[in-house]
Amino acid sequence: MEAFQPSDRELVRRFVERGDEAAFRTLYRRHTPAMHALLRRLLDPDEAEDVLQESWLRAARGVRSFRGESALRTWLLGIALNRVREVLRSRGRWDGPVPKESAWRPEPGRALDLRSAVDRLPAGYRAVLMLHDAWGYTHAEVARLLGVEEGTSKSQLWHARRAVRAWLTDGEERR
Amino acid sequence: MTEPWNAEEKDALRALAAEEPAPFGAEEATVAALRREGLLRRPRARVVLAAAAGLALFASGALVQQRAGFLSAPPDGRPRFLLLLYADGSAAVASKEPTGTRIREYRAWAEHLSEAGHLVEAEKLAPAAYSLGGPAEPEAGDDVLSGFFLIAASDLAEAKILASRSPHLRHGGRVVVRPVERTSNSR
Repeated sequence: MEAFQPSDRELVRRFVERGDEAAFRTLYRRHTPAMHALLRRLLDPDEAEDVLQESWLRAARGVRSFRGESALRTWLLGIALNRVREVLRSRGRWDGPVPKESAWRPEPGRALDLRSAVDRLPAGYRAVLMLHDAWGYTHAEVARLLGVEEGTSKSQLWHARRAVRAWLTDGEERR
Repeated sequence: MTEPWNAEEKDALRALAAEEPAPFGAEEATVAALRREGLLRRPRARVVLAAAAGLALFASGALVQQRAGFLSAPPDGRPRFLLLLYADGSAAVASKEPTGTRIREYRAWAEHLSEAGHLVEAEKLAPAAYSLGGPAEPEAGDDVLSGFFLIAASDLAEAKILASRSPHLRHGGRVVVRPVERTSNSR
């Protein structure tokens, strides 16, 4: 029988009302692996670690405003993605130009594995593809997480899939 | 609608989304930052008598007892592991380090376990042992169980890493790691 695990709601309540460190640590351990996984797909290891901490600090400071409209994890991922956009936009690495057809052409004899192909996408497109196709978020949820229109999420996903497909197949037609 | 990914590609995508544990030290750094901002209050946890468990292990007989209070890790569902500290009962092994240095080493290790939220309980065992069934007393030269630490860790691998940092190993002792079996009464 599993030991009793307090809900996110209960842990947040304890943290907000009493500054309960044990409650915070439980939340941290419960949700960090997912947050860190997303950050590692978008940032290098050192950047991911920095953003992870900054995200938790922002979450802790702002959790009183969390109204429970979404799952806590979704809210936390949203905070992390906001910070990622800030970091990468400041370095010109979030919004890649809308890729021209020629930019997505596969290189002959250089088919990539899926991880390499996904990592090759500009960060914004990569985030959409990971959130939708890897984590299973809907376009409405992706749009909220990334602060874009739902149509933008669909469009970027289409482009991302097309590019990854091209790099995977090395120009061969997909059956 | 045509599926964008075949089965193998879906597996590869799921692998990309696999959870990643926090970087080493990240949790403590975050907690420390929140404490500085006054957003956290330490739990009113039991004070555990630690460090003394490690200090009676020196075969030289220098049974230095030092009582020190450390905060116990709160129950949070993590697996528990018992670290059993054995020393050579023949008294032939004795660390060359000064006693004060050894005390500081054990205390630092216990402090780290506590500060990092791993330490649940620790006790020094008195030398006397009363056996019901089997040999009445350990044979001379056998390992003597002289203390234990009960810790919480994410998994066995982490528990072993924590145990490997015990100064007890450096001073010729042995540390046995035993997972605690979860039952309906487990905390």
